[in-house]
Amino acid sequence: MAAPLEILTAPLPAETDPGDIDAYLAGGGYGAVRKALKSMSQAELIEEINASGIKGRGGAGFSTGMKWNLCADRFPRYLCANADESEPGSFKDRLLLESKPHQIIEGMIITSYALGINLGYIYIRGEFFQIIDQMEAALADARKHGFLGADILDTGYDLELYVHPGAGAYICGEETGLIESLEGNRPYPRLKPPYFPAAIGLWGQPTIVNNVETMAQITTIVDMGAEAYKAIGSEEDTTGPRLFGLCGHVNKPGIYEYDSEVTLRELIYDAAGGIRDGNRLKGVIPGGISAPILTPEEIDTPMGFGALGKLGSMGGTGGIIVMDETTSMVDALLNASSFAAHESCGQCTPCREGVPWMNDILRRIRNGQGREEDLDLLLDVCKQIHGHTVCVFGQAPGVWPVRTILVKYWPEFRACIERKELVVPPLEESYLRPDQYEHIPPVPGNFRLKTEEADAAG
Amino acid sequence: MATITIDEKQYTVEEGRNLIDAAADLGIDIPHFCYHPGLAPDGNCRMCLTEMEIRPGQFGIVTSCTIRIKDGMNFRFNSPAVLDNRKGIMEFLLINHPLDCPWCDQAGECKLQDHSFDHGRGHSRFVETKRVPPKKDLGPHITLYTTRCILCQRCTRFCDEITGTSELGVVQMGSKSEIATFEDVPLDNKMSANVADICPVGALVTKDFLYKPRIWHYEKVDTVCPGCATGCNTTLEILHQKVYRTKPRHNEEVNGYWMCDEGRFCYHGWQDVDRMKAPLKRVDGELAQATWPDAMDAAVSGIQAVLDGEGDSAMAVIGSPVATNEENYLLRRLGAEAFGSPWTGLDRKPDGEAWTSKSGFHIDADKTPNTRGARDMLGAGSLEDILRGIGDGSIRGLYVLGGDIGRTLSTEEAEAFRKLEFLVVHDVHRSDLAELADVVFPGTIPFEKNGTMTNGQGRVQRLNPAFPPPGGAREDGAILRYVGQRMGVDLGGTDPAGVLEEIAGNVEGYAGLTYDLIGDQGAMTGGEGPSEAAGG
Repeated sequence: MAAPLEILTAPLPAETDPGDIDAYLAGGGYGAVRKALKSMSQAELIEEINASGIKGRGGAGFSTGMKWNLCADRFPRYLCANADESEPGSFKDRLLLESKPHQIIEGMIITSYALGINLGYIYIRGEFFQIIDQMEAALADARKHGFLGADILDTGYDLELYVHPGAGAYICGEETGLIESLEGNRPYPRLKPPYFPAAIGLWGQPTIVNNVETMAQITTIVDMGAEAYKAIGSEEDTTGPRLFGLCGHVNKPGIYEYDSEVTLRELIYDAAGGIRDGNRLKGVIPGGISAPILTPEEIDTPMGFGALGKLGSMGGTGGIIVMDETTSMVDALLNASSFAAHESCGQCTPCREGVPWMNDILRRIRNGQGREEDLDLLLDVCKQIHGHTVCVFGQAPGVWPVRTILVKYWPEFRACIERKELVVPPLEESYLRPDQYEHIPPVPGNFRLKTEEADAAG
Repeated sequence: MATITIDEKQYTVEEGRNLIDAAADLGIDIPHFCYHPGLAPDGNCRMCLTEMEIRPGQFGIVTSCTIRIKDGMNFRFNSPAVLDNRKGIMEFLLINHPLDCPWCDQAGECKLQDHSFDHGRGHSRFVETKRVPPKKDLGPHITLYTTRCILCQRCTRFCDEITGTSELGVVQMGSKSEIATFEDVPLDNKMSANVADICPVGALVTKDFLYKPRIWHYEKVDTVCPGCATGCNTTLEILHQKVYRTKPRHNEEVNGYWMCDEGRFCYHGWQDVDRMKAPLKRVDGELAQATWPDAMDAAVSGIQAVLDGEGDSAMAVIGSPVATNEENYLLRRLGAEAFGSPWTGLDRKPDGEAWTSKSGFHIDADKTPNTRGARDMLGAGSLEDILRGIGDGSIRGLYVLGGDIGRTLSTEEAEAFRKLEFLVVHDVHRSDLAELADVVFPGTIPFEKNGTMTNGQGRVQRLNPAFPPPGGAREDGAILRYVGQRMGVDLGGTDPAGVLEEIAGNVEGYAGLTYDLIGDQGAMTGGEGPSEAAGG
């Protein structure tokens, strides 16, 4: 049994306000900034982050060191800390923003220093208005103590950080959508290529967009050193502590901190106290709604990006949604699809038209008006959207849940259509076993039924 | 130049050119909706997705509209992945489209229709309810049939990039997205009607061209806009000797892909005017209809009387900035050779408003199309010189090419013209000037003219006649030639191309110009003046 960690979730001293900079300083806060700015060169810092093996915590699991190295050699450069957390099932950024604002600011200062950035933004989801106020206050305190502004800690390095409230849409968290939103535009994601933020980002300049948890982790890396950090977790799955948010039908929902070797079973049954009312597990989404669902047979997997990728799923944001045997997967998928249909930004055709169409079909099936051909139609619409959109929204929350839930819980959808009403079949009859479907790599969520026809079609 | 491969065939195309344009040059159509060569690529419709070799042997899906040609690029335009995507996009675009082609004004020139025919599946798998957002009145010229919109955003980009006025934007999200204006700021800029041209479907339509005959009934005539000295290249759509619509014709050096609303809708003014269909001559102090021989007799004898009277050069000619170079040139010859007059003047309408868009599209303050060319042809002095000549009695007779419907006379001008012993006017309606004349010949409006005009930059451009002049009205060149003939001067053949040849031999700056050289894009005179493009 993996042991819980207390690195990012280290409890605050009793009765302290998380935004209180004096308490934070008393506990050794801003030590990482001092260490980085006073005793490390920019190259050493970048090397340290590279050596730590950290993968970004935004969901895609992209190497943070590599992202920094891709930053075009042009100045000015900008930093955007992405705190527009809106993936259904995810709430780990919110916890950090509420409890460790100064650790995030520290990480942003270190990142900015390492990359020669003098201006950064922290883009916070608009609904988190209390967090926005608290972050503003924390930035003001940091400024007062000389950690921000001109000539930080007498090193001659200048940095300003500003809070930007989110514009109220999921797509504002897509990195180029976030940049558009910061520029004051509709957050339509940009075309990639050519608009990779590290090359052409905010105001056309190289821009690093990192998740806020990644920012907090940077502080941890500098604090504990790359060697010690690397010892947590594994190189392949990602090093360092991970925050897992469990929600749904577990007895103790909440944020749990483990390394990435912890298994899904351990998280559900040990950390989160098992499933409500002693029910059996029906399915679990391992990393926010976009992450393809796992059936009860698949939960003995470690929670690293690599291990989940092998199953055709992904690490995502670590927001784990647990569903017990009473759940209707038709309802669950309709719920996920409604979210995607509502949040599609409407810029490009396949996502704007296709995702709401799938939602309409699913609603019809749920209401007992499904047709024999609807399931194949859904899979075909998925195919028409997949890979044809401007950004990954169309496929991540748009297509992957439909494809995976539909394929893996095919019998339940069939039952719903045949009996012309919403039915929740007995657990054993509701889903396929892993040998009945297959994942087509490298794309997560690209599942298909293993049938004779499918095999013949290749 | 660059060598690229398309579906395993090699082609040589211009390096750096947009892939869609480069393919079009080769006669290969890459279907697209949101891309327009006059606007920055946006890549939102996803119709133009093709496969490009990203690494040796490995192809990936890319948006053609954002690809700039580089040597060695390798594309697949017809692979299963590409064709499947097109079919998919067509299906997506049509699920909420009303398919009201039978009463949509775009039918016949609709990209959605064309691509549906070429790439669609022919039947719908969509059994849900279509969304039906209401129709919107966007501004003085434009209505949005919201249901038909495919959200390619050409219109919003036009208002951002070309006019810089940004009246249009998208409201709502996802499938509820709609093109809209902001609160009470209508789509009302000087180029607003261009959004209807670039709308690939029948969503944005001009109120002017609503419920009109089907587009395939029209005859199309390329000409030049008579609205101002910019001389935007246009195509007139003609049915039953009437203009139904004016559309800008691409000319990178003049107007780009655009034209202004004033120019676009100015055809109403020209064709709604009460046209004069027979000559007029003054009888007992009143203008009365006359036959051509009668009017011609009256004109020639009147002119002869002035020439026979006291003083040397008592007749003067005034050219017209709405007449062609050829007409003004013939007028000069008539003045010099038949009247023996050194006096040439050029009419000048008071200046209007000049305006330049964000992209550099220019609307000239001179609201006549050929001031520059007429001046070149006539070597003309100002109208004031002529008025002075009338005032001091040295000019006693005048031959005026009129024809500008918007021209009214000032009190001073009218007073001066009243002093004349004899006044001959070419005009298209009973204008202030015509009312003062002794003989009025019914001439042509610019849409009936065959010849060339020289725009403000010095670009000589072709006008093609859209229809013959009505009733007894005649081409101005023919009238001038007839008057010359009656006075013993041969002004040459009736073919404007021949007149241009003569101009090329005699007028400074026009050397070497021929119809062939001018073509449909015009050619610069050797004269001074800005040569950079006014279009954008």
